[in-house]
Amino acid sequence: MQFKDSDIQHIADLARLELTPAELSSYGSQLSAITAYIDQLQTVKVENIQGSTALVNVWREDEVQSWSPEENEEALAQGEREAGLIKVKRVL
Amino acid sequence: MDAQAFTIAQARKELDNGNVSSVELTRACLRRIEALDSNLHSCLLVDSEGALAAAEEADLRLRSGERSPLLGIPYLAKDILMTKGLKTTAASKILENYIAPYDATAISRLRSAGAVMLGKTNLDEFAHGSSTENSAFGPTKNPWDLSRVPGGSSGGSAAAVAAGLSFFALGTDTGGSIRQPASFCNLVGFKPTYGRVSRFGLLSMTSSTDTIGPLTRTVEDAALVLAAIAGPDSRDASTLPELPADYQLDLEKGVKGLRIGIVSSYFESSLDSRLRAAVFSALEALKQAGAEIINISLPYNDYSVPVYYVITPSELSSNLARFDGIGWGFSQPEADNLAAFYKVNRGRGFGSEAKRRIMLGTFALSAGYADAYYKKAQAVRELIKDDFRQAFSQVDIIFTPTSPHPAFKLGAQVNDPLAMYLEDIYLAGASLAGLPAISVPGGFVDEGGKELPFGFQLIGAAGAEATVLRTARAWEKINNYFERQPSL
Repeated sequence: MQFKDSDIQHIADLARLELTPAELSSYGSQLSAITAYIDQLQTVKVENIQGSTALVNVWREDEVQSWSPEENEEALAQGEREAGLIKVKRVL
Repeated sequence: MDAQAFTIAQARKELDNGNVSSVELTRACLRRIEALDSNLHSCLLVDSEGALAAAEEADLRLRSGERSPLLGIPYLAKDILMTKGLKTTAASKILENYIAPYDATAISRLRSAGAVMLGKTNLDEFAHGSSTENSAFGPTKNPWDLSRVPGGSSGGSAAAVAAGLSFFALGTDTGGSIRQPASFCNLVGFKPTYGRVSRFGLLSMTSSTDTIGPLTRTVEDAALVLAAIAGPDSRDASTLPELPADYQLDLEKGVKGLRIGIVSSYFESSLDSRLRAAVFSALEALKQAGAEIINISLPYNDYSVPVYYVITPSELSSNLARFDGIGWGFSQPEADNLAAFYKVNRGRGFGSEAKRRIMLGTFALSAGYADAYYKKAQAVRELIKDDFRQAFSQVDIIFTPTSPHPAFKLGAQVNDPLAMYLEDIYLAGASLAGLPAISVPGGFVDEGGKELPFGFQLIGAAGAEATVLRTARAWEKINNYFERQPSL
């Protein structure tokens, strides 16, 4: 895969990343070199692999558990808050 | 008496006999950090007050007659493990001022065991790297040669233990990040089986391969630390259900009758010729000690680095999506809408390698490419696991070099990410398959008048930590390389 500046900008948009002009120009050639190296995987035959279908789900259902109120407070106190709620930027 | 002169096991005897107190050991470590770390930059945070308080408590427990392996022993933790009330930065600007509200399970287990945490060590940002040069707060230097890297990403932990700043350090290993710095710094670095140590409170990188383990001077010390942090945890559903084995039990059993597998292609041209010579004499020594050396092949392991560099960026691009400047972390308030706010916080909060990996992972998971990259890599990963399954039906241990070369110069590879990724060539396979693997000191080469260490890797079958440790101990006994220390 040869990445043009527009491809890099598109991926950066998907990943919600602002890039510096230096990053925009260097990532294209670097990601092209890295994916060229990774492309050797395309030669491996994998038709007969069970893969992840052989795995079982070990996760339990999500459930609410009580936690130390003091640790909760420390966790929440590190961002911007208003009236006890975490404040975010306007979405629309 | 400080950590340069003593192993954990030796300090244990002195503490138990009342010849030294934990406060004295702790003060000695703090003094050594104060004297040496301005040159090494292995620590991002030193908590003298907390350490001395913990040491006083350990001394009380000792005086009351309590005896346990790590009681009163000072250590350092990689700054990607949550430590309650202290900064946990992952060496990233995005978490520069983040205070962890709770302890990681590994940290809380060491706290209950009475170990004394001195502070937090430097790393490649979010553990992305093999040199510790990707830290947002500046690189760590190798104590054996200050112009060289200590390896990474647990480079701060490795440099600190090698320099005798603490008796051991915790590192994390996702694709080699404990083993490679151990080899660059003449240490024992042990990555346990995936799920052996709880990941609760570890800032996630690659959730399917992240592990926590010790960096120590000796194999016995590695066994002591692993025993303290291992075992099931209800807060990490991927922990193995069974209780860990007694790692001391078979430690001195030797390698008589043990089958050691080697892959001859691993000793070809890409391996430094001096290391190759050392490999062959090591195999001869192990044979003399009673081991059987068996040629095996791991054909799909040749793909472990390309597989790793699809799976890792993919998983971390998802794991790092939570860092958006809302609720905690680096935040630039001037952006006027949410999309711009995300982009500016993440763009300026993450360093270049973190962003490069997020980009690569986002691409590998994106519509139209996920089948060719992510799903393909997962399929080849199954073949790599099969390689190992077959190998371990013939052998008990697989022997490889840890890294193809000794520590490289600071700056030598910073502009070539692919060259840096190839640092994991012998290491990524065991990570992808979730196997226990240790790096042990393998000897030294002379480089411009400086003695530089290198290491050998021993990989075991899943759950076979005791066999890995026993083989490592047998090798250590043959050479005692751990006794050599850098002059600082």
